[in-house]
Amino acid sequence: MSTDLVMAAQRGDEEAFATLVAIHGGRLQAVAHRILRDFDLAEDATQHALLRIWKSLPKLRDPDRFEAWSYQLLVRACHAEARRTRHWSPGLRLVETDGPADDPLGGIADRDQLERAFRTLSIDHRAVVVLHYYLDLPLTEVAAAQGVPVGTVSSRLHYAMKGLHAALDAAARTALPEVSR
Amino acid sequence: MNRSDVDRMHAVRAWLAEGSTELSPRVFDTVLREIPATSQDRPHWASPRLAMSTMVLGVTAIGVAVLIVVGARLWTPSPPSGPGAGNTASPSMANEATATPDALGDPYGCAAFIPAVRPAPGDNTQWPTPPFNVGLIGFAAEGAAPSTPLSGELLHAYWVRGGDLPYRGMARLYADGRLIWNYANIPGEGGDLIGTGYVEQRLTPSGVEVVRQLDDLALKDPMVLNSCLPPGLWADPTFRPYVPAAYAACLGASNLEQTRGWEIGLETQLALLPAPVRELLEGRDLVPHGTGDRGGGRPDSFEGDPMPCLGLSPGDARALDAALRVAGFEQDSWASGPGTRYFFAVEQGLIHIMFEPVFPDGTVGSSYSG
Repeated sequence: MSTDLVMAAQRGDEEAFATLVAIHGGRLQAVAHRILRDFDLAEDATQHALLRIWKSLPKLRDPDRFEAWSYQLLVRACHAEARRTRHWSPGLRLVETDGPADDPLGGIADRDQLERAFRTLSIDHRAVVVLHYYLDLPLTEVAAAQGVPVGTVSSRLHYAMKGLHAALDAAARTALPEVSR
Repeated sequence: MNRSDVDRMHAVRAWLAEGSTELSPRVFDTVLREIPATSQDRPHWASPRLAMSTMVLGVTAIGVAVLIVVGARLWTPSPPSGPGAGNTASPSMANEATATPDALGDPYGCAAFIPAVRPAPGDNTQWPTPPFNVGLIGFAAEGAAPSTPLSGELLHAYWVRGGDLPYRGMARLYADGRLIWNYANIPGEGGDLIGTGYVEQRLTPSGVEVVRQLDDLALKDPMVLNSCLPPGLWADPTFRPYVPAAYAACLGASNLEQTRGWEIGLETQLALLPAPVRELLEGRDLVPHGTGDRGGGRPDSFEGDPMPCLGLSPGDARALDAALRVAGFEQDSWASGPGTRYFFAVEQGLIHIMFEPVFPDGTVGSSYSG
């Protein structure tokens, strides 16, 4: 079980931590990627977060809280990556998709609009959206991951989603043909 | 063409779900390479050990070292067991993470019903799915009789996972047999955006004891319990909306950009509200937050204060809800959670007001936690 692994890693068991990385690392990188919208930055943020997790793990009082706690460190790492990259202005490389046949997005225009709208959000706003709507963390956990009150998180979410929904509506109105890309 | 909120929410979720979820080999290799050279920070609360005599410390260190070595050698991932195991084409580490390896404290085999964190490709196991819209969402129907007894001893409050996503809801177990729970919205499983709402079921005294003694939170997940507990342990297994005897209005504030909390006291927040709203809130008693929401449910370093919550009778809560709308508060229609929340912009920032049910132990929950 993860809790046993966490407790072993807290005691300095490198093998246990390697297993934790194998279990949770993919999800951490997925979150970083969705927040930063950049593969290289996401890799760096994940790497820094994982090393910070290892370093700070003995301070985690409740091993059952490992996963939520790890997101807290990951969001900090995303902030640090965004700050560190002086000219941080994410490129327009879109997240790869297999293009599902049953596509709830309805087409590439929606993706472009969402991508552009999402990139206008601050890291804080992006993190709320990703943690809540990608991971389905409750807002209390999102608040904990960001170190702010729940009310602040809920208002961030409200306004971030408002912007994304407006982008979707704009995409629906313009209905850009795919050949425009 | 204009989409509904539900369509747009699904579109955003679908967009977020696209793309890789794998850890890059480069990151994995680098982390493993750097771990041996990265010392761990030991917490201050562990420091009293340092005061032990040299001999005791030495013996302890040797013991820990032996345990680590033995533990590392003994620890070998075992294949997942239970009905879902045969469907797992390529068992993953994620599946092992949630598999309960033994039946200790699990007399009814509930572990077999714990969903995998990430079902492996080809794993079509039908895990129990939470029911949508059966519980309390917003306010209870006008005139609905509140759950009885009006007060109750809370035995245990805990996060529930309920599937492939962490911390999707909360459950509360009461000494009188009530099990009150909710799951947040679940992408891809249909229904609306809210989830179950607050559901009430009732266990027999024996059922309460069984749930108390289950030794893993995953086993206490309401959907797992509904799958594995024998009918004799349920006094009333029907999913019913929890009808609170009272509600609470929880107040918060942030700056206009929502980049940080706005640290103002309750009195200041009240003073910033329109008079008809303020008058309905002034002089109300504070309702405490449940320990499960503030204690075990947060990482160690979160030091934020809980939002102050003011108690309201059902009638007063409805009156306040109406007053908020009249006063121009913007209702949050995007986020999940069975509570209702409003935002109101003033010159200096944003005021949030969220309605929450008060539970039988007299505490307020976190329905806005989604």
